[in-house]
Amino acid sequence: MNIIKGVRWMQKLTDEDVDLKKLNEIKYDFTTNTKPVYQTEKGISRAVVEEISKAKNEPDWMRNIRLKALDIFLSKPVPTWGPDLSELNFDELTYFIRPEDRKSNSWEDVPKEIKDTFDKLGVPEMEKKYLAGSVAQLQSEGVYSRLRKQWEDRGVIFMDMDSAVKTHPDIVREHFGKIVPPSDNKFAALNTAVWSGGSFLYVPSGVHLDLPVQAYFRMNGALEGQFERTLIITEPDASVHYIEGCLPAEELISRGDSFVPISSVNMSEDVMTHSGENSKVIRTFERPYDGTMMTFTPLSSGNAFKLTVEHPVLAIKRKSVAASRKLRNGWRSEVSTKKLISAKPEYIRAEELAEGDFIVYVAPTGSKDSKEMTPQVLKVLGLYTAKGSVSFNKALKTNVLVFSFGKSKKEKELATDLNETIKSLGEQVNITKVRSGYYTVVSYSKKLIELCETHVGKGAVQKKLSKVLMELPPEKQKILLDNYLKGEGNVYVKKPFKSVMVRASTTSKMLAFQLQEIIARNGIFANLSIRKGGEDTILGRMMKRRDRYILEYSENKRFSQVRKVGNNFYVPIRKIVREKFKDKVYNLEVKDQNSYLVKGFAVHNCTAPTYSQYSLHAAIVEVYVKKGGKMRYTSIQNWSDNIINGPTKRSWVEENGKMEWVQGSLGSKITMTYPSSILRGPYASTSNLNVALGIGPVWKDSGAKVVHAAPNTSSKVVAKSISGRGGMSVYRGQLRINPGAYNSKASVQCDALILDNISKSNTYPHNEILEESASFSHEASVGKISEDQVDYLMSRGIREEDARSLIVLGFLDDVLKEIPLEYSIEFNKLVKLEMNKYGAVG
Amino acid sequence: MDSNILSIKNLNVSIGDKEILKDVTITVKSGEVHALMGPNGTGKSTLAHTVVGSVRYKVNSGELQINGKKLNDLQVYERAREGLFVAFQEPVSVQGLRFINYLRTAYSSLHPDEKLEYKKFVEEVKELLKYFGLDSSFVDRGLNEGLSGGEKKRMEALQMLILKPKFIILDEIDSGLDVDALKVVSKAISRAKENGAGIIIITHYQRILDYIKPDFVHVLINGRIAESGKGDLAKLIEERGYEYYKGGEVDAKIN
Repeated sequence: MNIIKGVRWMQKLTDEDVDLKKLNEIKYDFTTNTKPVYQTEKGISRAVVEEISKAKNEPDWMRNIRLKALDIFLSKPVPTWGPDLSELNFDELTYFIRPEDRKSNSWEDVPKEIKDTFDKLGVPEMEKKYLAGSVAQLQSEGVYSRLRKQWEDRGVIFMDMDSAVKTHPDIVREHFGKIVPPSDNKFAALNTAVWSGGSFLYVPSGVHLDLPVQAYFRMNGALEGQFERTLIITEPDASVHYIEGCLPAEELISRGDSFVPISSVNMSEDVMTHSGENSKVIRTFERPYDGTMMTFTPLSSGNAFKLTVEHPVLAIKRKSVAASRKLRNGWRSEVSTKKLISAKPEYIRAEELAEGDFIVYVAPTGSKDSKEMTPQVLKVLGLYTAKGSVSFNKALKTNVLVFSFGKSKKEKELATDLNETIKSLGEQVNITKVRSGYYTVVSYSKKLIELCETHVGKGAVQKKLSKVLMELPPEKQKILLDNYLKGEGNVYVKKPFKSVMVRASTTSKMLAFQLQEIIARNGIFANLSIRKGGEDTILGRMMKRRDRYILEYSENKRFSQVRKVGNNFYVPIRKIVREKFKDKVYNLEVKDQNSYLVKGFAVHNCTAPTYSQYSLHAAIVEVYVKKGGKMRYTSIQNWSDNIINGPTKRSWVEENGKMEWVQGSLGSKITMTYPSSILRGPYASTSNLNVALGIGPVWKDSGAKVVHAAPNTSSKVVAKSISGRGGMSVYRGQLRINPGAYNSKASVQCDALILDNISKSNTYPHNEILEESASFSHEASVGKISEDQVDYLMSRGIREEDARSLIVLGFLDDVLKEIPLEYSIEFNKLVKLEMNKYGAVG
Repeated sequence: MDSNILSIKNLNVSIGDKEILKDVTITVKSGEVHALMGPNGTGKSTLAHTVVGSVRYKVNSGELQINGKKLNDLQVYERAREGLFVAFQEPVSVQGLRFINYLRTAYSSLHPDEKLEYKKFVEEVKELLKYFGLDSSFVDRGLNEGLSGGEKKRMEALQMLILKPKFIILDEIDSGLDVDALKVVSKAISRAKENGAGIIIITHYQRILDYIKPDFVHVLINGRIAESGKGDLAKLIEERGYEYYKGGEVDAKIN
């Protein structure tokens, strides 16, 4: 599939620069430093339209559609009912620039102001360059292309509109321009005549799509031409929907040297990724979740982790690596080791995984040696981890380091050896035999006590290895480990294969995961299990036991279900449990690597794209929602304030179909957009959420159109507008319930917030209720930010501009909570940016 | 316990041309509870708003200080960051601004060096809501949106505890509260006192002082402190009535 690499970053200008006459001069400003581009003459004519069609190598039927639309365009007057468009000169515009000539701008050429905006929004470096057109593809493209393959297998067609005309002429011809005919309005006619770029999405009957489609869809569609064309067809019972995978708050994320709950991970901290190297967290996400939570218990049950059904996990399907021989031992299908070790793990959605599939445990790769950590020191620390403690001796008023050994001969040897080792380090130490023959090694050396506390910690439950230890080269960690095992573990030889089994247990959860990582760095996957603590009565006495974490592995086992490839271990899933879950869930976005480790296992990071730039200029979006289909179309535009944005978006909704429009409009000089839904079949429904931010010298003219043309249809429109710094926000709505649309329901709510005395807001609802049995409600409100509200928030330590942002976001809350998380986060940030500007002026 | 001092020194305040406060001086230390009493419209709330830093109140002379640092020229939010908290008589509501988001922002603004653990914070707030007899769903509700007068007062008291200010001014926190609510709010004030806050309770009635005993009492009449004394002065005022200070005449409306 072709990925369109068009670049259309309009330069963000200051208010004084905004002059519609200049529109054409600043267009494609970036390309001025590069080679001349292929473009049509200025102005529009039959020759220009034919040239476009020829350049695209289009079939005749499409050329004819264009030419017919041109006639309609020329015959229609410029609309005068809305904002003043008199400065728009159609002869001064250039209508076509070949996409391949627009790409490859150098990052240095990107205006500083745009770079700054990216920085303020915290857009990752790669994505910035993509958005600015200086790289052709996003790094995460790899993930998407795999997903795209999955969709294609299900019959989904997703490509740019130009290609669709050629490869799927029958579907395109049947639907193109049927919902929005060129005769609809002057802009629609213009678009039909000169359209270029845009996306085509076809979802066959019964197929349900989710996040990746939309994410990819958006990335792909974001930067296309000025007159793009989007056509979406969802066949009966298909759905296109957005969901996002996340993890519960307490799930442990690996930092490489330690493990922390996901809810405590902050932006710009490091986490371990699937590559075995750390990477920065670019952003953290948090949202309420009410749905199914899955618990994955790998072979190593102590590593069980939870995530939501959509979250992609790095995995290998058992089926794909099955051996050709028959079932044996009753344990699922046999796996071919050869196939398994040459298989490439892919990100697979949690709900698509089954018991027996392989997930990937990652051993961190980097290491940093420390001169301080000599073999002797590591021996002491290893034994301290197993046997040591630091306590305060009240009589002597000083800290004392005690190693407690058993009374066997082996223990005596170990104690004696430790005693000698400490002596050889030049520290004072004593060995004693206490009550009933137990050996203890005692030291008062401040240096030694500090060493142990710094690198291993104090109490048994809180023991935790330091960053220095966790980063040592594996062979040095082995010394620490071996000595730990001498103190804590037991080793036994198992017949009949004489495999050497090693077993150790600890009450420190953190230590258990750290040791598992150290063992993995030494090339062995250790099984981690938990023996639940609790209360017990032993010999008539109540005993409280803590949870114990048990590590087990064998050094020379012949059969294992785990396979090692590089620093990865492919571990089969033993059990999958689904349960209802209602609480906050969390996700991270990780720089470059796009992954992180949950209890050591690799999962994909948040795929939410960051900078929303799904913008339409004089675009057309046609959406067919056929019987029982579902579609949600979200667009957030943030054009620079020299742009006129007048897309025509319309959907056709058949029986039981559902169409949801979510629209946010922040930038652009003039916006005229009224997504509409025609409810053609009984029980069809639509919702339309619309947020417009008219701040500065701009005119936001937006709203919704709904036609109820069948019985029992329902619609809900919620529009919120904000005007400030002289901005104008208009709600223009049209709602019609046709005669015969029995029992249809419609509600319209429009709220306006005005930030100062120089800004305006208008509401033009136009409702025609022609069916008596229909019910309809309309609510409208206009409000202002009161100084008392600002004062109140400031009296709690909040700065004035932050107080104003909070009030504005509160006003938008009922819409923001309806839209997908990453859009609302984006919106949040953009509103704050706008409000900060506001604070600087006001 | 920290030892902080809030001093209001010879404060003269006017709204427009109208002089409201005249030469008011009150000094509050950590752990002290002061009651500021007086009839309606005598300037009690003006004092609260002036200390907050509301621009509508003009300070003609006098000084506000916390630990010797002058507050007069500081903005409202900067004063809050010096440790000042005012529970308002009529708290505003902000539609859609979720209480927990607001509170979190406020807390982080006031305690920038502390790392706020969101989950723990929410738990703490829910616990306090329970303590005040309020529903835990209030955390996600718009700030004071749709709350009754009494509920708003309890929410103010809750914020007083959670935001850990050094000095607290409670502007008629007792009005609109029933006996049970009054008890729990009084308990909360004692808790704040134990935590080391210096407190000024502005009230018209003696009622709340039955539950929390002030260390000092000031009587404000016509914008002037007519009398200051130890805690037992409150009882005396109850017996005498405010008329005592005015020779039988009380100028009830000043603004």
